[in-house]
Amino acid sequence: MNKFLLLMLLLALAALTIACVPEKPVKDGHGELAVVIDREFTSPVTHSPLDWWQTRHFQAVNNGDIKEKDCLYCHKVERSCNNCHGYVGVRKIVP
Amino acid sequence: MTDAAMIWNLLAALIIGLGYLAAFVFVGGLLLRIALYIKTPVPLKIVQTPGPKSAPGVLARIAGDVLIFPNLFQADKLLWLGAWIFHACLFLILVRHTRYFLYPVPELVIDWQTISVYAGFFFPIPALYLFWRRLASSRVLYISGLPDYITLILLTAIASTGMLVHYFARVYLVDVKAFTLGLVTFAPVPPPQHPIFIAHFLLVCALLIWFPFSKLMHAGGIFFSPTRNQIDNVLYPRYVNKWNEEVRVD
Ligand code: HEC
Ligand code: HEC
Repeated sequence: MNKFLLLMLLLALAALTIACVPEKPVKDGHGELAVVIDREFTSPVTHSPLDWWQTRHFQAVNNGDIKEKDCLYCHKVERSCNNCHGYVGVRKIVP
Repeated sequence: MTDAAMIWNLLAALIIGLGYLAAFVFVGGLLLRIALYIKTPVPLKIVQTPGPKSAPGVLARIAGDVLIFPNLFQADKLLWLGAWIFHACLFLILVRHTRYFLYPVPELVIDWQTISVYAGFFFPIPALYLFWRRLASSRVLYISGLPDYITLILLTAIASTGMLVHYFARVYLVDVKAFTLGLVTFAPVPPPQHPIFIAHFLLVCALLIWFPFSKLMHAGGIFFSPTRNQIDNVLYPRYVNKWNEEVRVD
């Protein structure tokens, strides 16, 4: 009986975690973490190629090539920085 | 579907399957080994003196063994240093990796970003030292077997592929996280198409399968050494061997 209860508890816990996991943050994607950038802004040259930028954008910021607050001209911190940083566990950007 | 896409789908399924197989072998093997440890008879008090006189004392002794390896310190200072740094790095790296399996990611794990990256960088040094030691001293070389090398080679290979995907051939973490979260929630998605990441993942699978059947089990066994986990109370109360046959005395 105890074992049965324990199993049920574990299953419930598993179901709960599965329900809590959001979709990955993608530009114009679905779900609560979707990356949203105002339509008026077009992708700057620094962002090309995009897959390079996605994995290396921190270099531009940490080297001081571009200041963090210049990114925020187009990016809203909650919708297109920290939603993604929260997903992968990187320190949050403070505006 | 093009041929390339078809082959990739097959590969992805294989990788995911291997991930689950590794997790299953690891958890099952771990439980089996620990059950074995628990069931092994301990017929005698063989506590190593000076032994703790109480249960909290035993807890303190084992915590000490786990955290600072005092016996090794007395035996071999250099090995102690190498081993301690090795384990400390391993611990930091493991904690940091929980960010791939948890959502939301705990604050502590986010705060440890910088220090665990250093740990990752540093890790190969004590690993190489432990490897070198096995070859350099004829006594240690003599008692080293293939399994000892396999463990060290696996760990070093995992660390180096890990550093590669972090620094030089960076993998897109968003895709990595989607992959790992997919695995732990039983809704798998294909891994990122990044050969070094896939190598890193498969090496970890190999380590997980290797773990329960190797000396890596010292991670569990350390809690079950009778010389270390017994209370030093031979004189009082009377020690009754649970494994003795029942004897009729009437
Ligand atoms: C001129 C406006 C602008 C500026 C300034 C800007 N971005 Fe962007 N960023 C965009 C646009 C537009 C996209 C979407 C690109 C696309 O989908 O092709 C984007 C995409 C991104 C992405 C990828 C998001 C995803 O889901 O793939 C990251 C990461 C990013 N930007 C980071 C930064 C950082 C860091 C800075 C500052 C160094 C910065 N951006 C500055 C407009 C900007
Ligand atoms: C679509 C996902 C995504 C978005 C959007 C995004 N980032 Fe990142 N960011 C990442 C990833 C992935 C890393 C690398 C994490 C790692 O390697 O540990 C990172 C790392 C960084 C780092 C380095 C962190 C550190 O402490 O060294 C900085 C700085 C950074 N991002 C700035 C920004 C800024 C500013 C924005 C918004 C303009 C932004 N990012 C938007 C995914 C994203």
